[in-house]
Parts: sequence; C-alpha cells; structure tokens
Amino acid sequence: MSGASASLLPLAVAAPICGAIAAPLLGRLWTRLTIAVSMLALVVSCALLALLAPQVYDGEVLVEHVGNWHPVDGSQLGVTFAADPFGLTFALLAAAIGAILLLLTISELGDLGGKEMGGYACLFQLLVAALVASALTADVLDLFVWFEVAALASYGLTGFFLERPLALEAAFKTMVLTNMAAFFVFVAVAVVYAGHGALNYGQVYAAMAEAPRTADLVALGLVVGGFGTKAGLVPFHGWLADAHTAAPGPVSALFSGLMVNLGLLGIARFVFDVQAPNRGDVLGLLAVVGGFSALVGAAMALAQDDLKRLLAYDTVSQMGVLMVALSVGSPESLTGMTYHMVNHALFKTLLFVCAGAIVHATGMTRLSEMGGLARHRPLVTVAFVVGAAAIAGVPPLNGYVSLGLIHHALEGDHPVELFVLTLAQALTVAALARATYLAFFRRRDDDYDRIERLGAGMLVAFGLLAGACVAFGALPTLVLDHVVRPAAGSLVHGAEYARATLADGGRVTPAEATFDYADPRQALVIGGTLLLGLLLARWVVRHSEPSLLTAVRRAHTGSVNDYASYAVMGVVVSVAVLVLT
Amino acid sequence: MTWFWVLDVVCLLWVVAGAVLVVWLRNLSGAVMALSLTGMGMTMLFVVLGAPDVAHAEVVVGAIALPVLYLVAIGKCRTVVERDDESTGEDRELHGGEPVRRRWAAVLLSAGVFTGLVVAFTGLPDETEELPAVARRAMTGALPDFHTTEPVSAVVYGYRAMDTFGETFLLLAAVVGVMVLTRTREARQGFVGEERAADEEQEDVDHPPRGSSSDEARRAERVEEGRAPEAPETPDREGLGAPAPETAQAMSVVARTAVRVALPLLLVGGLYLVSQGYSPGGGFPAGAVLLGAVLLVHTAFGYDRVRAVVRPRVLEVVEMLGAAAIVGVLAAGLPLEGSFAANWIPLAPEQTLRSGGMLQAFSVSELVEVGAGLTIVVFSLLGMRHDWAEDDEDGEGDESGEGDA
Amino acid sequence: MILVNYAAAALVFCLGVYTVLTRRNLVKIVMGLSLMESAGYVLLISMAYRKGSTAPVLLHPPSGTTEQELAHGNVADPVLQNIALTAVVIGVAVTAVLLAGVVRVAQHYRSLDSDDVRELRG
Repeated sequence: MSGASASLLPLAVAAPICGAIAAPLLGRLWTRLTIAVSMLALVVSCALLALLAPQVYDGEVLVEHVGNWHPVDGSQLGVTFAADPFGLTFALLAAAIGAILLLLTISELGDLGGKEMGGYACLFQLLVAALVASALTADVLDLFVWFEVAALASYGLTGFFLERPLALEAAFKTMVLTNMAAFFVFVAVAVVYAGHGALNYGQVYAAMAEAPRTADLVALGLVVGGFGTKAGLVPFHGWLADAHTAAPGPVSALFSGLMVNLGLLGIARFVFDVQAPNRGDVLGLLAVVGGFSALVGAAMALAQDDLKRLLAYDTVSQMGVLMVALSVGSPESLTGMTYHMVNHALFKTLLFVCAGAIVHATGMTRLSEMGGLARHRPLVTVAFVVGAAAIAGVPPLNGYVSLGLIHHALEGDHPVELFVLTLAQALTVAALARATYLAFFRRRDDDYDRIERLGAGMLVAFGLLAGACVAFGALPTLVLDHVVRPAAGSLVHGAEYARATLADGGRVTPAEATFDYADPRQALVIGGTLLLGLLLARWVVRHSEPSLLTAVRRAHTGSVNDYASYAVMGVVVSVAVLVLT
Repeated sequence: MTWFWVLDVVCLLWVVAGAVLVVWLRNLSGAVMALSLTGMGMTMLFVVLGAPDVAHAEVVVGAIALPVLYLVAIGKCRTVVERDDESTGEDRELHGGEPVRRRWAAVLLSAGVFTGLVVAFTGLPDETEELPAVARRAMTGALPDFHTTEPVSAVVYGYRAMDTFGETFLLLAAVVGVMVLTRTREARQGFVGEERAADEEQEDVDHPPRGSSSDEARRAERVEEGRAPEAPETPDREGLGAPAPETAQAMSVVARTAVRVALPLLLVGGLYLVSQGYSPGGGFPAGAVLLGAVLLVHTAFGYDRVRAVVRPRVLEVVEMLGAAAIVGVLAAGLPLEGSFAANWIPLAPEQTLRSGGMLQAFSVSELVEVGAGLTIVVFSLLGMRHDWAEDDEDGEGDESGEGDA
Repeated sequence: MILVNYAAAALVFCLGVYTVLTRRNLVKIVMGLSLMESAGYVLLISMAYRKGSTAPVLLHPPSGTTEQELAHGNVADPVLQNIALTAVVIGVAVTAVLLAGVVRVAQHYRSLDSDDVRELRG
C-alpha cells in the first residue's frame, strides 16, 4: 500500500504544472476561468498530499524512486522523492495557501487583461509547484533545479505591474541577487557531487560520514549564502524588502509566507539531513546570522513608511528568529521552529493580504498618507489586528505557542540568544503597533477620494487565514502531537530520514517537546515584550528617528552593487568560519 | 598525453582572456563580442574535454543566441538612454559614494571568493580518480535499459527525467517571465490601485529631457521595426563607404548569400541532432540550433521574412503543446508502469530511430518546447514597445484602466 | 593537473563577481552574471573529465573494443555532462529575462546607471 501511494508524489507536482501550461492559453478566453482552473490544480495537489498525510504524520517516510530506478548497492542514479513529515507540512502549506491566494486573486486582480492574467497564473503555479517539489525531493541536484524554478517565476511576478517604476527596479535587484545565490548553490552541488559521487540525500549523508572533506564545508558555506538569500537573512536580504514593496498583493503574500521558507528548508535539509556528519560549526554561524537578522529586520521595520516594506522587514526578522531556533538544534527548539514556520506562513500571509487590499482599493502605499481605515473597512482592520496580535504572541493566537516553545528552548543554555530574540520581539511589536495605529486608527482629516469595495474572495481569505491563526493557537497539543512533532522529527533524527531516502522507505521518530499553556514565565515574557513594544511605538510616533536607526537605514543604499557586496561578504565570511573553526 | 594538456591550456587561456575583456571593455557592444569570444573558447574546451553534446549547445548559444539577445537589449536601451556605455566622466565620481573604495572592497571580496573556491577544489579528487558508481551505472545501463548508445541522453531523459522535467519548466518560467515583462499594454476593466501608485512613483523618478533626442529615438525605433517607408530593402544600392548606421532591413548580398548556404545545413543539423537519439544531441541543443537558424534569417533578411514563422500567438500554443506533451509522456508512466517517468514505450533495437523508448519521445517534445520557447523569448525582446512609461507619443497603450472621476 | 581547469573556472567566476560588484552599467552587471554562469559550466565539464578518457558515447566504438568494454572503460562522467547540457540552453532564457528587466528599467528611469536606479532604499 505504501508503495502505491508514494507514486502519487510526482503527481502533486505535475498538477499545478498542468495548470501553469493551461493558463496562458485560457487567459485569452476568460480571465476568471484561468484563475479558477489554476485554483483547481492547486486544490488537486493539496488533495493528493492530504491523501498521504495520515501515513506520513504517523512517522512513516514514503519514498518514491521516480521512474522505478532504484538504488543499486547504496548508490542512487535516479531522482528520489520522499514525503517525510517536515516536507509534507511544507508542501501542504504551499498548496493550501497558494489556493487561498488564487481565490484572492479572482476578487482582487480579476480585472486585469487576458494576456497578463494568463502569464500571472502560469508563473504563480510554477512557483507553487516548485515549492511543493523542493519539499518532496530527496536529491540535491533536483532541489537546486526547483529552487531555480521558484526564482525565475518570482522575477516575472515581482515586476508584474510594468507601469510602476519601483516594480521594475525591484525586479532587477531581485534578479541579480537571486541569480547570484543560485550560482552559489550550483557550485555547492557540483562540489558535493565531485567530492562524493552522490546526489541522493541518503547517499551523500553516508558518503560524508565515511570520507569527510574540507570541500564539503565550503559547499555548506555556499549553501548558507545561497539559500540564505532566498530566506532573506542578513546580509543577503537586500532584495526582499524591495520585491515585496512592489509586487502585487497576493504575490507579496506568497513570497513572504511561503517562498522565504524555501531558503529555510534548504538550510535545514543540508544542516540536519544531508550534511550532518560533516558540518563544522554551522550552528554557531547560523545563530549569529539569525540574531543579526532578527534585530536588523525588526529595527528596519520600525522605521518604514511603506506598509508592505514594513511587513517585508518583519519577515526578515521572523526568519532570523527561525534561524536562531534552528541553530540551537535541540528537539524542543526544532519543534518550536517548525511550529513558528507554519504560524509565520499563516499570519504573514494574512497581513500581506490586508496590505494588498489597502493598496488595491485606495492606491496608497504609505502609512503617512493613510489613516482612519477602521471606519471605512472594519473587516480589513480586524484581520490586520488579528495578524499583528499573532506576531506579538498574544494568546490564544498561534504566535503564543511557537514563541513559547522557542523561548523555553533557549532558556538556560543560550541566554544571549534569548536576550536578542526578546529585544527583537519588542521591536517587532512596536513596528506593528505603529503600523496599526497609523493606518487604521489615526484620525485622518481629508476623506479618501476613492476606496474600492472588497470582493468576496478577499473576505473568504481573511476568514480562512485568521481562523487558522486562532485554531493553531487554541489547540496546541493537538497540533504538536499530530503535525509539528513528527515534522521536527525529520530534522532531529536526520539520520533516520537520510537512510530512508536511500532505501524504499522508513520511519522517523517524532521529536520530544511539550507546551505548557499556563507557564507563568512565558506569560511574563510575552506581556513584557508587548508592554515594551507599545511604549516604544508610542515614542517613535511622537519623536524623530534615533541616529542608530538612521545609520542602519543608510546602509541599505538601494544600489544593486552594494547589496551584492553585502551578500558576497556574507558568503566569504560563512565559508571562512566553517573552514577555519 | 601532453597534447591534451596543451590544447586544454590554450582553450583555458582563450576563455580567461575573453572574460577579462568582458570586464575591461567600456563599450557595451565590444563587451558583447568579448562574451561571444569566451563562448567560442568554451566550445573548444568542451570538445577537448570530451563533452560533444554540451559543445553543440554552447556553440549555438555562445555564438548566436546570447550576442543577439544582448545586442537587441542594448539597441532597445539606446532609444531611451543617451549614454549607454560606461562613462567615467569626472562628474560621476561625486555621485553617491567613492568608487575607489568600492573597487578595493570588491577586489578583496573577489579574492576571498577565489580563495574559498580554490580551497574547495584542491580538496576534490583529480582526474585519475575512478568514475563514481552512479556514473558507471549510467554507462553500463544505457544499452540494457534503453537500447541506446548515448548514455548522456539516457541520463538526461531517462534516469534523471525528473530533473529534466524541472529544467523544462525552468525554461517555461523564463519564457513566460519574458512574455510578462515584454508585453504590450492591455485594457483593464475597473480601478486598479497600482496604476495610481505608478503615477506617483513616476513623478518621483527624474523627468526625461524632452526634445529632439526623444524624437530621434522614436524614429530610430520605428525604423528598426521596419515601419518607416524610407528604409530600403537591402543596402546593396548604397555605395561602399556609406556612413553608418545602415537603415536597411536586410544585410548586403554577401551576407544574404552566405546565410542562404548555411541555413539548410543548420536546419538539417538541428533535426539530425534530435532525431538520431543514439548519438550525441537531443532536444536541448537541437532547439538551440533551430533558434539559431531563425535568428540568422532574421538578421540577414529582415523581419519580414520570418514574420510568417514567428507569430507570437501560434508559437505560444506550440510551446504549451510541447510542454503538455512532456507532462503526458512522463505521466503515462504512472498507470502503465507504476511510476512517474518510467519507461513505458517498448524498446526498439539499438541504433535505430526509435531506439531508446521514452527517451526519443521526451527528446522530441523537448525540441518543440525549447525551440518555440527560445524563439518567443528573442522575438518578444525585439518587439518590446515603449507603452508602459511616459512619452507615449505613438498613442499606444489603452488608458481606459484609470478609474479617476 | 585538472586543477588548472578548476583554477581557471574559479578565476572566471570571480571576474563575474567583480563585475557585479563594481560595474554600474546594468547591462554590464548582467554580463557579469553570464560570466559566473559560464564559469559553472567549465567547472562541471572539467569535473567530468577523467585522465585519458573519451566522450561517454557508445556509438561506433574504436576498432578492437566492443560497446560493453567501452561502457566499463575510461570515459568522462555523463551525469555531470547532463547537468551542463540542460543548463547551457536554459541560461539563454534566464539572460533574456534579466535583459528584459534592464530594458524596462531603462525605459522608466532613462538611465543604465545603477546609481540612478535607487528609488527603493532605506
């Protein structure tokens, strides 16, 4: 039975691809039909994955050697697909949220021309297909290929509105930086193959355990740089804020909610599943990178005037948090990281959907121009407040659970990281509180000349996403035991996963973690950061920008050469740290 | 054996020299030619190192496709930008940051990357090492599993078909990306907020200098598209030493005759590459060769001759059909053989046209997709208009999307 | 000795990186990326080479050897050549996307200098 189900895995990738092929052709007929067909393709993909979910979340790894080319004597020439709990979680998130965003597209962008819509739907589905495939693949070269597919699809989507000069500027910077990242990963894959003659995860794991090389550490440094660019970690993050500012609403949501996770997935796979026997001090490196990202992202978010740019910097910060959690490497921290990854996908998508709604309805992007939207669009206000509260960690929303897990994992042995994360959390709360106030609750003197109505699709999207935020927050034990702990198990027990990908299947033990809802220390930390954040927000709204913040802002010069320099510097430092320590 | 190393080093020097020229030359067209030079050096290197299929692909890409792309893009920019080469005028030094500091930082960073890469490469096995087990499997398995004498094709379209599946849709993403970025303006119904945002943003960006330079640019663009009636068919009437640039649509009789001779050779060569699946080649280089043929005709004879072949709507459909065929060929493996991308076509004897089973079907579909896709890409780039930014003097672009009262 | 090839590939890669870092002309930056890509191909094919090997083709084996002997004999690595083959052709399309982006930026900003294309900053 397991063999028969596993063979469906490539179909979960093929479904959105078929939709992508049909999209430009259908776009000439009727734009809404194109989106409807695309949504159907993603729903089919989601259904196929859900079909396999019960087995996989039970701890089983479903392995499919594509084309029936099985490993021979421990060496695998063909491509292997493996559905483990972590990968399946990622893939399900991608397909489900992708479908919701397409629903949103019908109502928000349904008025676009036929050709444009066809192109949009095609690229959107290719991006989602690439995300699903990256999560399910167990082959380093295949991972690279799907990573590049996601990158290319994102270029066209970023620069979609050709009349906006900012969109084209952002698209160019994204192209240059992401392409460079792709080359780094390319060289890394070549080095791994040349050193060990292996492409399958399990085979690479075994080969690295047997014959570690210094070249592997260089490859890992390149991987951190390449996937770190995708994830938006400092100093590789130059493209992220620009791309999110200028892209269409649903696309920004897709980028921040799902595509940055691809970077996280790549790093997690390499650090825990593929290169675990020979990874040097990568965890220490990631702790520093993560800490910096958390602080810089939150600080920059506090200083932004453009709403979507603010949310984009918050994504940088959250990825930093995830990276710090990853760098601890304990079962509890990895569980917290996985939970936070899911939560971030949900609440960040919700926030971006709200921001996209505002831009599309009023044409305004700057917080300084907005105000008083609570009166005109109460539903958008509620959705935004729910999203902001989720990030802040207010119970009973989902942020409370994941942040609690992460903080608990950092207590004791990692005081520095805990302090950094708490500080970043306070800054994040401040940034979001300021945004909420300025956009929705501040009194605005002039009336808007034009506010469009919201479509039904948007309201459904709000409901689903906000509902999910509440559900994941109110039912932590259920989610932990059935979803998150098995998923984290793929990372904690990476050797089991790796072995399974070379064989015809296997089992992965879930990670050990518990969450105590009524933990007083957790409530104290959350309450403290909330209070501090709100005070800070109030202070920032009233006073001018502190000079430290201005200095950080000035470092983001906007020149593509400078951003590329930062990225290359990051790669060189990563490689040096890994090789020399 | 030393002959090998001599050839190898010569080709490497050629490649590195080309690369240095690309960085160094300030004139953009010159840099493009240097890039082409690098490509030719790489082709020779690939032949010397024993990779004939990759050399097939690289020669078309390096000599024809990439230079054409770059020159078309530079030409398009020239109509809107006054100085497109890298001006080093002293006034530029004062513009945002000191270039000298940036240069030293860049040298240090590049040196750092070089060191890291060399550290990695010295730790790798050298050429006396055994082939890895997976490669040996591919070599020994090609005949029994697929009845093909071309193991590289067996790997590309057979063993690692999933990889190539991904690469195909990588190409599709790029093609559709180019289509989206180069599209002409369409009518939109209703209010689209981004359009108002766009107007504000364009105001923040510096205003273009109005005046005769814009008109010149417009006229040049129109002539390029062949719409101006004054442009002669061929430059053969003009005397030798006529001032450049030529405004003719086609090239001189020498170029045209040469292309007339070369074209059938190229076409047959491309079709040979894809049809003889048991020899080096396959869909990817064949698609590139077909693109090369179309580009040669376009360059030598002008746009009119290729208009019949290069119709965007038809090509789009063709490309999507190619992609659909690929999905179909691979997905048929699931019900018929129990696994996606499994070989379900019965194997014919080796060294026949039908040998290889699924490999041939995949390869031919790939040819369709790659050839159509690359043609769309180049001609979309050529056909880019100016209707999304200001100075829309031709009246193109539909403004009906604006929702303002 | 193949290290010479690897060093040349690393050199071309770094020339590409240097171009992206210092050159302000947008088209030049794209050329830098093309150089990085080319370096990758040289690296792959150099890694595929084995001392005294022939191309991994079984068609028309030299006289005296059978196809089987050739398959078990000294050939270059077909797996790496597979990657390079598809990557070369796709590189054209990727460069085209980059160049389309450059042209559009030039149309809006009237400049090919990256210092002029900095509206999004801070």
